[in-house]
Amino acid sequence: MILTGVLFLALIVLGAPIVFALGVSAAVTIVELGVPISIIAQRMFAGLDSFTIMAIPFFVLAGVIMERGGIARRIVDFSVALVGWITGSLLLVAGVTGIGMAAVSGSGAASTAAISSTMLGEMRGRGYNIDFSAGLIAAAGTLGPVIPPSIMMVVLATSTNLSIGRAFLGGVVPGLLMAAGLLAAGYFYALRGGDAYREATGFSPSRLLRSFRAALPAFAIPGVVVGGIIGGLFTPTEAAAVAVVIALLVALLVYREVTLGDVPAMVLWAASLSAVIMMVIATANVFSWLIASENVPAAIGGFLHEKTDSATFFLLAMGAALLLIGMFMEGISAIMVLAPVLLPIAVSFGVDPLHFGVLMVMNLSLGMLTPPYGITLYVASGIANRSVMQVSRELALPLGTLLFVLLLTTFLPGVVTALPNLLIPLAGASGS
Amino acid sequence: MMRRVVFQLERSLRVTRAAVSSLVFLFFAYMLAAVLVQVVGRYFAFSIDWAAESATFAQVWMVFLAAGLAMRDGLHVRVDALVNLLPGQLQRALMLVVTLVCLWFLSLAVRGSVDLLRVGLIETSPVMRLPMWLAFLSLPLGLLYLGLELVLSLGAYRAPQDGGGTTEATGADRGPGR
Repeated sequence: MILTGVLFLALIVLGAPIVFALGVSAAVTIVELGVPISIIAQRMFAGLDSFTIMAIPFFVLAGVIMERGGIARRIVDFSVALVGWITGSLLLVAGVTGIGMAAVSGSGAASTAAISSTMLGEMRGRGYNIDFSAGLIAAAGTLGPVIPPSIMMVVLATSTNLSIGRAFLGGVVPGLLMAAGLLAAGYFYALRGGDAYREATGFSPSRLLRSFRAALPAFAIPGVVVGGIIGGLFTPTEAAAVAVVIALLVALLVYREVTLGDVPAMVLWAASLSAVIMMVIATANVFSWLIASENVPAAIGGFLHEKTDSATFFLLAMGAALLLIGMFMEGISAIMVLAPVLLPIAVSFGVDPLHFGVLMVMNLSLGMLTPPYGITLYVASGIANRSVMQVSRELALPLGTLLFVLLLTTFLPGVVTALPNLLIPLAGASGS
Repeated sequence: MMRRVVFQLERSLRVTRAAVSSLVFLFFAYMLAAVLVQVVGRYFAFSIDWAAESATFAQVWMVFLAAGLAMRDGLHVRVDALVNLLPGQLQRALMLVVTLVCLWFLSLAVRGSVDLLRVGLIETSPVMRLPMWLAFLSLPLGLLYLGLELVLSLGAYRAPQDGGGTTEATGADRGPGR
């Protein structure tokens, strides 16, 4: 199994697509153990033969429709009206938009691309520090997987038998804390900055109302999805399908920025994007079968318990390890492979599985902000036309803020568990 | 003569891609329709067990076929920041080796799916009693098409020119969709 791990890391570093890095390293081990190779096909099929993960292509399609249907601009307009009059307003707008985009899109890179392309030009025009601005936007992109609906949370829940509804709710408070931290960081940065950050225009209630009405149909999506799941109206897959229908109606009939003729192209694009995620799920399913059959969780758990029984130590060690893994690995494959291994160990240390699962998602999301696999950082600096190095130098404040919220959430399980326990108590658990 | 062959090959590639795209669209549309019928059906209490099962089969087909389309569009996630630091010649050689290893994996998966198909001739699905080979067939067909696009992507691959900006540019090119 150690060979499998080394091979996997080597393939990633050599630039193999992650879907193949997982598949090849699992296949080599299967051949070496003399297991019939039909297990590869069988596990790949089984990974996709699931009604629950159908939420993923539907959320992706809803996101694509909203992206092309003019949703991002409405959310930016609303954020400008809401906080555009405060010092350093555009930085705050980026943060608030980050929450909004996270709530409609479900993935980090998509949010970052939408915010960067709509806002960086204006920031540059007003003389903001473009590197800091890009860094803050990249940091806001990490809210995507934490704030529901979130594809990473769907993968977490299905790979560990947690309830999707509870996982979604578990991300709400940590996600808002991350956002609040980023807003504070942007505000203090602007206070110390020059005149570029002082705003001339005042607050206008009528503009706020107008932009809120324009953005309202967009916010119907997270409302229906999260509300419908909590209320037991829909399963997560059904809620995602309904989200597609609402997104289509809003884009075609309300905003009218796309036509019926654009739909096939959007469906095909969404199919390719979801195939990327779901092929990783398929090959990771071969990998995780291997991990389970070789009793890796028990081995790692036994090893850790020999060293210590302290839950605090376990959480800190895992936090550090996951941050490191998140730097090299894409989050969904990391969750697929690691969550089934680590969750039972966390429980054996007396850690709440939902708390640990959400921590995993947060840890791995932060990895999107750091090279070599820093997807939101790459997207934001790419659109800002700055090198990754230049933006990285200004990253200390936003990254530090997010790490602080992560530590806070690590030591206060209630930040994660209070809301789900209130709205979807475990005894009558629904939603998965 | 040679040109005719190339022309024919290009045409069959176009036809294949168009066929795969149409199938992917149909399967995706079916998934959506079936799940919506299920939502409506629950409130009017007509039998809808078949909807979830058939939608799941459509999903399996959709994903295995779209995997190749995603390869054509260069969407499959990989860490290229480190590889991009190498000189161009070495990068190309490395790409070739990595691609061969990936093809080896695909060939194993396809061979394994033949065994699966044999099982599928006997086994039927739990709800609709459909023969399972109807679903299993997606695996060899989809993976063969993925292999084809993988090989083609190698031909399309150009090592980035020396000089800054490549890493960021690829990041931005690939990012917006995800």
